[in-house]
Amino acid sequence: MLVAKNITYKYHESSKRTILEDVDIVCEAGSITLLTGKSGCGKSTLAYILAGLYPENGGVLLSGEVYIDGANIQSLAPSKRVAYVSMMFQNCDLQFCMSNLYQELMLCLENIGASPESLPTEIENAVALLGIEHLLHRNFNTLSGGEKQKCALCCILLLKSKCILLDEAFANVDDQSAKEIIQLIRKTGLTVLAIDHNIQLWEGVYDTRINFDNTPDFVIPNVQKAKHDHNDVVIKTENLSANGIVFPDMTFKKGSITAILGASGCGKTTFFKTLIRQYKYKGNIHFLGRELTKVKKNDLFAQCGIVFQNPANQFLSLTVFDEILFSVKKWNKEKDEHWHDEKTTEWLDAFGFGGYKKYSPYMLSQGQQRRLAVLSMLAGGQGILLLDEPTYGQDYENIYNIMSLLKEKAEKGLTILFSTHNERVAMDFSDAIIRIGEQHV
Amino acid sequence: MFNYLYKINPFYKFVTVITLAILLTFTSSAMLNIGAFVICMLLLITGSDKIVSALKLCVPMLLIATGLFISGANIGGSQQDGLFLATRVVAFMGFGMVFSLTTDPYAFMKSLQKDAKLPRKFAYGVLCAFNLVPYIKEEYNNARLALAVRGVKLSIFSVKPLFSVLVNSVRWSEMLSMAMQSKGFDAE
Repeated sequence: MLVAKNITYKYHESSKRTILEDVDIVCEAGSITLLTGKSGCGKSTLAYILAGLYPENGGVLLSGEVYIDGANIQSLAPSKRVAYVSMMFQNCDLQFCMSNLYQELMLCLENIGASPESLPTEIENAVALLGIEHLLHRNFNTLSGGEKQKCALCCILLLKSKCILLDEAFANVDDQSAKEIIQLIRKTGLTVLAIDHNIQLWEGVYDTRINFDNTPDFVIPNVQKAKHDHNDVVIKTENLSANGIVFPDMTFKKGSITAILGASGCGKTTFFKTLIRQYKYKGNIHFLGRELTKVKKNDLFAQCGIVFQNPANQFLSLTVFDEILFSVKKWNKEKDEHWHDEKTTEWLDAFGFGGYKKYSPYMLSQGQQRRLAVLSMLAGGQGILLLDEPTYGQDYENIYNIMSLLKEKAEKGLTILFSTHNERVAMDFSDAIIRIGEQHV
Repeated sequence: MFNYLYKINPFYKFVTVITLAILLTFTSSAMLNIGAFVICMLLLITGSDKIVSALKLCVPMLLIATGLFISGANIGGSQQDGLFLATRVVAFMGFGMVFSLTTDPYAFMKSLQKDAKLPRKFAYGVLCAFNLVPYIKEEYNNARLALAVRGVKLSIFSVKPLFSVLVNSVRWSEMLSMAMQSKGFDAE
């Protein structure tokens, strides 16, 4: 059983704002608890505290204690703590120390003192349970986000902690695989606390749900499809293949919104990167009537913006305000400074960043960073926008806010291509859905 | 072939290579340097399947060696000095290749722990850093691309992408260290 009492926490001794105030949480042994709430409300922070990682690695715990099966988590060294609690993180790239799963598992097991003879069988069983035998010896660099998360889960299962904390662990995994993994977790009978915006994934699986910031559930509105009567073809692909992936023939019209779906690792990101000429390709891509290879990169970027899966490398300023101001200035050179400032403020308020203008972009939560990255592109004037997983790590309200704004833009002629794992969002907002990855070379 | 180089205990291989390299620094014979390099290459031919990779590495090595030959000859005053300096580098490269091309980093770390009694933390830390290198490279390319997309003009010397790589690297090391702690690895 996991019990946390009176957790009050802030990032800095000097900061006035507390991230968590007097939070109590109880998870019964063997139960699955789902923790939901808006992005940026402190859910991840709470998970880090429950895992014993905070305040050891940052911040100040003003009050509170965490017990798992009677053991005080804060007083245990990591090597003892792992018997009680382990965590699966939002960022799937940064969970491994070795270069492939086999090495990682060996290392983890040796570290907790498992007997060397039993290791190979244990590892075999664990990978078989998750159905990831084929990933065991592949280099982590070559795995997709979803595949990496399966590997991370595999490590945790092998460590046999009593309690598992999942921090948005499936945000980058396709729904089908995520549901399978959740069923497997259910079978292990461990105490689970999962933070997830995608409640549907856990439907029928969780025992308790905690609504963290007490905001009422966001009711998914009925969305009117964007109207677009343009018939100009913006991008058209024929017999396209890149990086060993064959893509179906696609046509994107001006002002349309297209969702690109497919299992983890099917090549969604590859497709976007191919469109901005980061990969060599076979076949044809007609970009605004010209073959893509003939378009100069500067011209290309003036026409086509992209928001990457990792928003953090998209930032170039020290504050949220400057970040958007940069785009506004860049695209509206003829306007004066006052106009720039006003427009920037307007954008920031519309995206819910009103209170964050002075923050560093890197201080924002993952979900907020993504929103800011989308905004930094929207504030530009490109006619085509590629969005790689804009819904990742976002709560539904934010997703619908962002997508509605995008839809408005599309009605004015912006062509949007976005990849997602979220079928619902794809259905609601896109004019066309393209599934890729069924035909591998 | 026999691939015997892979089978030598990595720590002993490391000690041997380092000892030989240190011994070599006390000599001053260009012939000995060349001899050491030839032996290294012979070892790679007979004891591993990495001779092709080794030959590829020889290309930049020869460039460096040529540079050293010219500067050595100018500073030292004779071609002998230049030749000596250049062959020294070649010999060291030979030793380096014998070790690095035939040693799995994971096995080396385990051997360091077991045979050299190195603290585990240190050994893991090195490996973590080692595994982050490709990410850092990728991150740098991504950062450049992301900036280019936002309309920032970049030359090869621009520091802007490096800034975001730096910020991210610091965050990574924090995240990675927390992830490892959560898997039961004791912190410093």
